[in-house]
Amino acid sequence: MVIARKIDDSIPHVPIQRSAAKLSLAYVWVAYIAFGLAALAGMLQGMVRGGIIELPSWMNYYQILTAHGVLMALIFTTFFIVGFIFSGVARTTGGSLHGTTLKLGWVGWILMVTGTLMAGVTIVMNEASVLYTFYAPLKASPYFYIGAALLVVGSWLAGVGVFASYRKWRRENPGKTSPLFVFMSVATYILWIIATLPVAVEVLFQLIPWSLGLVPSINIMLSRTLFWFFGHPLVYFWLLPAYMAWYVCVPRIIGGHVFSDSLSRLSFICFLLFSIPVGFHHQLMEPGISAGWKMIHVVLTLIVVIPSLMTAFSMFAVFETTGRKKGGSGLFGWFKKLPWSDARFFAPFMGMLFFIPGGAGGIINASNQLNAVVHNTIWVTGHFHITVGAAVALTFFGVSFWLVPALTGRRLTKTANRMAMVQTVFWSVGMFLMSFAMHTMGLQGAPRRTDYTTYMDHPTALGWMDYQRVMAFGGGLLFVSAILLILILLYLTFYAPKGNTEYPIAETETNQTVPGILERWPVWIGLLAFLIVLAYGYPIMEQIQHQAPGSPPFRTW
Amino acid sequence: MHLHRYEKIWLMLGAGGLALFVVLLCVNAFAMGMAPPSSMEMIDPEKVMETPPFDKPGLVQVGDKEYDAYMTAFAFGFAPTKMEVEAGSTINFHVTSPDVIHGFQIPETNVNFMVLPGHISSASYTFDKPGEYLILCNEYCGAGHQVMATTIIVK
Amino acid sequence: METQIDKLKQGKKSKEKKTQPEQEELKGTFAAVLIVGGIILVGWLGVFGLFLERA
Repeated sequence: MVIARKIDDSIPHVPIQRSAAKLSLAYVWVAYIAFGLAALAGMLQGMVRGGIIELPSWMNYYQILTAHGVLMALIFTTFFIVGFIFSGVARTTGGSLHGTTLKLGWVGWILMVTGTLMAGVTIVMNEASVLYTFYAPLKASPYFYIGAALLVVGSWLAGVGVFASYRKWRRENPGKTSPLFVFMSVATYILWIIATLPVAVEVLFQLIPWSLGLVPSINIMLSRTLFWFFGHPLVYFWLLPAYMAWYVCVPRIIGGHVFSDSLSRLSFICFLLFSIPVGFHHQLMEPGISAGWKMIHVVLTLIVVIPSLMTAFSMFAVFETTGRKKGGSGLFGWFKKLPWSDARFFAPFMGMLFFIPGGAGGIINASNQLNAVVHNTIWVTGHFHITVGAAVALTFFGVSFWLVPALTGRRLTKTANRMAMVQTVFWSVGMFLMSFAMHTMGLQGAPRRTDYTTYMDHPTALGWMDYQRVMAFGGGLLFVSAILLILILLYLTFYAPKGNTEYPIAETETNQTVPGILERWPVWIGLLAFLIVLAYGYPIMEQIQHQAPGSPPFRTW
Repeated sequence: MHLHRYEKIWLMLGAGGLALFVVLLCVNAFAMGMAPPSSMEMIDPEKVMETPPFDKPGLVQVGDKEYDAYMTAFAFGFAPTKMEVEAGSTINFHVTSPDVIHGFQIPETNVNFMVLPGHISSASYTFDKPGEYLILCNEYCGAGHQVMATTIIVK
Repeated sequence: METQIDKLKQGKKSKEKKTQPEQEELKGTFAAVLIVGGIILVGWLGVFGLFLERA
């Protein structure tokens, strides 16, 4: 313990400069405000669906469902990711961000906050109960779409800011391999910018003019294709920053090293290449796309599993090598040597465990005709609650436990760490119960995104009720955990004792050479462009040339 | 770039497993005719109610124990509301929407597809077991989405 | 062109460097990933079975 305190006070790196820390913290806190509101909405939904409460007449189930989805999946994730990446880039490039990056970062923040507020107000006014996928021809207020566009544009500026830092670093360090964290950040933003282009096209050229009444109808098929062109890489945009924490931060926390620098980079390149040309696997049950094209996207989707298999190996290898150095022996002896009482490790580790069934379920979802078993059932909701809601969220929580004090110049005290452990346990148990019930009900055919209903007391639907109550109970635990988390973060921001907190960045044990090809972005972007044209060129051309008669707008809520 | 021997084996096993999945899926989809519903037929969503056969939604017998069901999915219901067939019948569903996107799912069967305005979705299913089958909408379509359901009675 | 030359250089480099400890014991890792693979396989076959049963 004395040793731990010593490490706390003298950290092996330059602390992050105030200007960069403020920027990062501003993003992280918007993320957690959104998270808190979203958790409240989520808890209410769970209780309604469990048949435990009824909403007051001025509130609509689908309104809070929209709020939950938008705030969790779009606002919490995006703000946290942008803030985390800024801090990590500062940490690994000398402790600060230069003027251009800071400026872009703040302008991005203002745009993103403005967009969030616009979308938020339309949701509160019940002008946008279209859920976070906003499928046309449900028509939200134009301000909802404009808000979404501002959010995306703001995040682009943040991405350009990171590119600027990266260029500056490379100019100042000619011939050197970039820091792993920076490399991964650049890959993540390239993925994000390319992925958001089609949804920007959908919003700017289809949804906004149509919702303003400038054009009478909309090409539904095209809007869905553009949405899912974005929708799948979106989940990798959530996942990659969590992987960054797993590859780069977690090894340092447990006192180990990066397993392989090159392989880490290679896996990110694979994600960049194969997470985009796969969107039809979200549209497997739709008319208007031929079975052959669906199968092509299915195969490409399964390829993107391989870098996750690599990640699984790398993580276990880091744990094993570190645990063995600490004296763990036998086949699994190293497992006991991991720092189980350190929330900075425990939270992301629980996230990794959740990702095992999460990944397995994802493979099932994407398996062409098998999708018929689970499509639009609550299984899917269970799936993304254990992936983004557990694997990614728990990792972000674990990161926050050291990131926030590192940014505010405070310390994660023993008590705070203990509270963080409790919070992680609540989240894990709640998520386990809720997602288990969801997966089970989904296999029996219970639909997702649906208010409490017994379908006129149909026996099939009545059979789901017990699971719905388990789901609600899990949701209750999650809400308690969310409140606890907000309290911990408030403490770490404003009240924790002053001190130095390490920003954990692991290095490789021995000097590893990294193939220069990995950093030749034009090669990868070119290859990605080729894959996109291959996967989407012909289908999108068909959807424009042989389009179904368009749809006028509807407001059905 | 250096791969540990175990990692090489692991990735080969993983890739092999995924390849096996693809082969099983392809055989089942294309050789056994179980590909997901991918009908390419189109219709003007604003004229669904006056376009035959959707102007008179219902069951049409097309063979011994085989029916075509022409159905509309709308906010918030399905037409026709009542369908009855004898056990062992095959129904070829053809469904479209005059308004927003809907879903069409019969729990505990493989009948599960999207209904998009402008498109006609098709899928077939043989109802071997007697019972009252629930058809529900599984894509959010508005304030009454949770009541959007109907049944098929199989005798 | 540049890239190709680079690739060649890289090839040489990676042959030169064998510093990474191959003898590193990763038996536990291998066992752990095999468990992960098993979960994926069992889950997938389970749902495939359900799909065939419901056809």
